Amino acid sequence: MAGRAPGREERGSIGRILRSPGAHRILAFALIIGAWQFLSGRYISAYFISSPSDIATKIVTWARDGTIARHVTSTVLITICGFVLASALAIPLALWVSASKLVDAVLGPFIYAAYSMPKIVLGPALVLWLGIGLLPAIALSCITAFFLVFYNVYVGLKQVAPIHTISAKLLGATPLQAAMKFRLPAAGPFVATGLSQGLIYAFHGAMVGEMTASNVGVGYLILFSGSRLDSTAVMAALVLIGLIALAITLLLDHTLGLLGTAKGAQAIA
Amino acid sequence: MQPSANPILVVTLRLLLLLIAIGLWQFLPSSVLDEFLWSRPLDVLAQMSSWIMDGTLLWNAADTLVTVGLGLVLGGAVGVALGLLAGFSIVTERLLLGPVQMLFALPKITLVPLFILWLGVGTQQHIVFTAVVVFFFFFFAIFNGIRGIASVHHNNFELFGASPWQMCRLLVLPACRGWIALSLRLAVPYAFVSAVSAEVVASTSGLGYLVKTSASVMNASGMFAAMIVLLIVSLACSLTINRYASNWARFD
Amino acid sequence: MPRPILAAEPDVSRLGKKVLSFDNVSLNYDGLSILDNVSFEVERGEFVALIGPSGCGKTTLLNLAAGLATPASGTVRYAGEILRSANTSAGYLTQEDALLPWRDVISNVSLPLEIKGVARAERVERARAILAKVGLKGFERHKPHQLSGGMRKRVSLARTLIYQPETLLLDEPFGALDAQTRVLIQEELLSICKDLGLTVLLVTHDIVEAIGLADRVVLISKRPARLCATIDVAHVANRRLSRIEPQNERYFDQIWDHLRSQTGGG
Repeated sequence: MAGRAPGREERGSIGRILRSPGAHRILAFALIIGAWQFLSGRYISAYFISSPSDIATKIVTWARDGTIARHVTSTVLITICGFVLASALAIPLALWVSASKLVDAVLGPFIYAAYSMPKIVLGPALVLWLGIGLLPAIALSCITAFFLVFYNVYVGLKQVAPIHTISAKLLGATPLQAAMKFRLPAAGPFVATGLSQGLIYAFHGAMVGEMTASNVGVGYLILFSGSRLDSTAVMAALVLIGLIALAITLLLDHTLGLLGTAKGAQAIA
Repeated sequence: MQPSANPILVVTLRLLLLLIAIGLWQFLPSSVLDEFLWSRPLDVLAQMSSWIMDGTLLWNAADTLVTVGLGLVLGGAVGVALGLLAGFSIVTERLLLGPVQMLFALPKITLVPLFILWLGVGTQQHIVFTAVVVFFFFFFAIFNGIRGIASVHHNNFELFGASPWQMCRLLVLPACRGWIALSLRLAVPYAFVSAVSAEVVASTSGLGYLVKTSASVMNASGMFAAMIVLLIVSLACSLTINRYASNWARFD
Repeated sequence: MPRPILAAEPDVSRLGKKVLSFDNVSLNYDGLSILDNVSFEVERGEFVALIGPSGCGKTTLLNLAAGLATPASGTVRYAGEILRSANTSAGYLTQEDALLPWRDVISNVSLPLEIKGVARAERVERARAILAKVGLKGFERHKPHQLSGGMRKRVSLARTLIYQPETLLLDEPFGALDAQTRVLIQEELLSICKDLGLTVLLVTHDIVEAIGLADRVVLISKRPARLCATIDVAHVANRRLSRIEPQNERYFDQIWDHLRSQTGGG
């Protein structure tokens, strides 16, 4: 652990590679997959855990028959729509609430209460109001992402030094100009965090929506597979979901890196 | 800087807002707000009281609370244990951190179908699912807590001749107390969300189950009744935990 | 003129008196050579100060003496035995505050005894005694954040002394204190060390502190650290810790010139 000054001379570069974090992770991963494949069917029923080879086969099948294309595009569509909608609603609201102490105090508890409500229970309600399909899923994705974007932007705006709002007023800026040119830029890192967390949670919300209110999407796919007790399909769908999550993370890291913002800034969630 | 808002004004406006919302809900004509889909406050209250009378509300709320409670305990225990293991040495860290981080990236609800496959749709499964969600909070809390311990403390304990167990008990766990307190505050609402989510996807009891079954038989009053009770219970738990947890973090 | 003392061959007749010996010790970290064939010894009851420019590896030498690090080559011996693990006969005092913030003073001080399994009543008694010795009687129940820097330093000292180590390793322990508190604590430390017959290895930047406290001052070069010279100051009279007496200025100058030559221009 930290605090030690290592005393050994370095061994050759091979030794260094073997001891690197990457090597250990690959080793851990390989061990898990290897053990899994070995145990499946022999000591643990394939019903429960399937096997890496079966899962891989299933994914290839899905790639060929268009399952992946259909469901992944639906999920991506739902996620993006939910995210955009959520941001479009959350940012103006955050601007409004943070600008007025009165509004902040009055609305505060209501927003917190809404945030505490498990969003998933809105699923059945949304089905009742919007039917089954893409719409309720988008709505759920939006609602989930909304709070994250809102809270991060709100906190960011509140910590903006008064000098910025004063400058805006002195220069005769309209509220819109003040928001776009002074306040939001001053809250930059928080806005970035809010948007990146928003995208991540838009995806989570999309999953919730698909599993309770949709008939398309990888969330629906996994539920459907589960209802048929097909563990291979369930795990294959999980792999797809993992890949989408990974893609989102990489996209965010890349974008945030370009913007020069601190990666992985803590979310207010 | 604006002066702080007048507290009386604030409370008045809040009440006003609430009254207007409830008023609109009750009195807007059905052409605007379809009664069938949205119900009315009075009908919701009627449903709530009938459920209280026949015990439905009590049983289902109790089920959800049990799931949350046991899930927190189980997830917390495993999270702390594995967190300690991962912080113990750089080797265990590399072995454990990768899989945990990968699992963490998945939207947890997508694990429910798998859990249904393994454990069925009963309360047992809900508890395990809740525990899995809660686990991450405590794992990362301990893990970050250990990393945050200044190396000078570690060195000193070594010089005092402390065993690993002593180091854990006398240094690591007290040092992580603040982190655990913070995690508890975050974990409790999430435990609720997880328990209810599992119930909505598939269950035979619980508040989430109530919401779902009400919706499926087009009982909007029931749906809202269950949702409101859920909101009240979850807020009550969060606020209680927050009050106790902040005492823990005081020395930091 | 300073007489350089470098351990060449071990002197058998002094074996029992040698507490700490570094024998051609070298150490690397991340490809950088930090220590280069450093050899010196510390005798029982001796107070040795190590002075060198910043980042030269002085702390590493202390870590080696504490058994918290191992050399790449050469040996570090404590009481004749090669150090293989943490040196539990040595007390280590650093500049950073190492008190546990969630424990009060008395339970901080009794921590080493708690770890060793000493019974509670005895722990408390010994802790009280040592706290009185460092002048903190009455502060047992305070928390660290309620104490001043100087008082926290005394608590740390008490904690280091409570399990009766033979040797003290000090890493610029008083650097963070204000000038007056520093002098007071230095004087207390010196009297405690002489009282208990402790062997001390002190790492410092402060020349006045080195000359004032030590029997012998060892000069280290910049990284990779080598031994440059040793100055005997035990025989020097009138060593005050608040300033340098005029007749001792030449020692000060010699050390200062050495430091200057090792940093910047030199």
